[in-house]
Amino acid sequence: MDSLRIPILKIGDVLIASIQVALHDASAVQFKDDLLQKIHDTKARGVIVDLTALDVVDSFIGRLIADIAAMAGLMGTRVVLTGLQPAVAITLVELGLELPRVLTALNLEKGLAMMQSLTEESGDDAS
Amino acid sequence: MTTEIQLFGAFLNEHLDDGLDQLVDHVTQIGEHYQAMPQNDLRHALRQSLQHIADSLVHNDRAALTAYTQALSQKRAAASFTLLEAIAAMDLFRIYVLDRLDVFRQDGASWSLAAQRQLEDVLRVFGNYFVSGFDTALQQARAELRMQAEQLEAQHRTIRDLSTPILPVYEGIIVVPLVGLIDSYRATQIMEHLLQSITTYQSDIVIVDITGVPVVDTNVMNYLLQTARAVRLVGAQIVLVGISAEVAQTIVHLGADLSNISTLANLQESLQYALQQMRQRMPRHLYQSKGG
Repeated sequence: MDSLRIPILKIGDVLIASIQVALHDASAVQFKDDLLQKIHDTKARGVIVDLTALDVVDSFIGRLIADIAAMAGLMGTRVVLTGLQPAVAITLVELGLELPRVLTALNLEKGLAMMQSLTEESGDDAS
Repeated sequence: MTTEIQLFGAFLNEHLDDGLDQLVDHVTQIGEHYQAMPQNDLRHALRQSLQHIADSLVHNDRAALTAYTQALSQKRAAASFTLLEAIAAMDLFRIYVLDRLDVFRQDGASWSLAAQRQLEDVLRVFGNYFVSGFDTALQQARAELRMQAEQLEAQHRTIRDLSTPILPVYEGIIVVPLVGLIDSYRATQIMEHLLQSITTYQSDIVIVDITGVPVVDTNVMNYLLQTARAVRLVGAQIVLVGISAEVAQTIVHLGADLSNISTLANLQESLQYALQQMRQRMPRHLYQSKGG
């Protein structure tokens, strides 16, 4: 179902994806595949996934987010999750999915700032 | 023409004191409340009830009887007489009236089945109204309980609001001074309220001071750690303050991973740390508009 594909945008060498609708199993898996593929294709340094619009998660989506973070990390990409809602945060914690290697920020703005400062710190920019 | 029932009514009125003392004796033995009554009062009350019944038979009128009985019933119920005592008193009263009927008939008066049914009817009405007051008392008690339950719920809500005080001390920094015992219910309240506040205030740093929590055992520590993990997921940084030596031991024994939680000795230090953190992030914020 192509119409439910989550768009992944690129700013510099950072990828940004904003989850706007309730993720159904199929589209969630599709998103994971798309994202990992795009990271590989663009050699992105960082990925920001904005979850502001996600009201509720179940164990499937929860694990999927954890998997995406882990996989992206393995590919050498920093992952920042932004805009997690209280209810979702509580569910993830109760499910035991803490996502320890994932960075978090309150919103997309701060997420971008964080990503920026991280890239500057490590001096990865080829300039 | 005077009917049999009216004649009996008149007979009752003329012999109100016959065997009354015996009735008083029997009623006294029913239970503690009748026993506690001064004998004269009880005698007077029984005599009055008899009189009302007699009048009701003579005048073929129920209104005065039901009004009197209702008032009497409410009086007894309000004085904490039990329903069982009232029913027992009713029984004795009925037997007494039937005893009077025996004497009335021995003197040669005629007595038809119709008259008997009328008498039973009046006694039944008397009985029903005598217990009605207890039903009213029960309804009132239930209504009071409901009100108390509502008051209790309102107090609970106040406690809930007071239990997680959120102080937005500086832009991007909130302080949460926890005071009092934390059980699982309160822990959930704290977590939900805190997360909501972080989203509302868009706070980057949350300082949780547990100095005022008297007991921090493994359960409480687990709740706090859960909350800390959730706070991090939402995108804020948590600083835990007020950890005593005992609490430090508890944390280590739990083997908890505190890599994402900062801990400091006291509130002053934590505020200094928080301000420092905000200043480091400020340069980027300087060029951004306020509000999320």
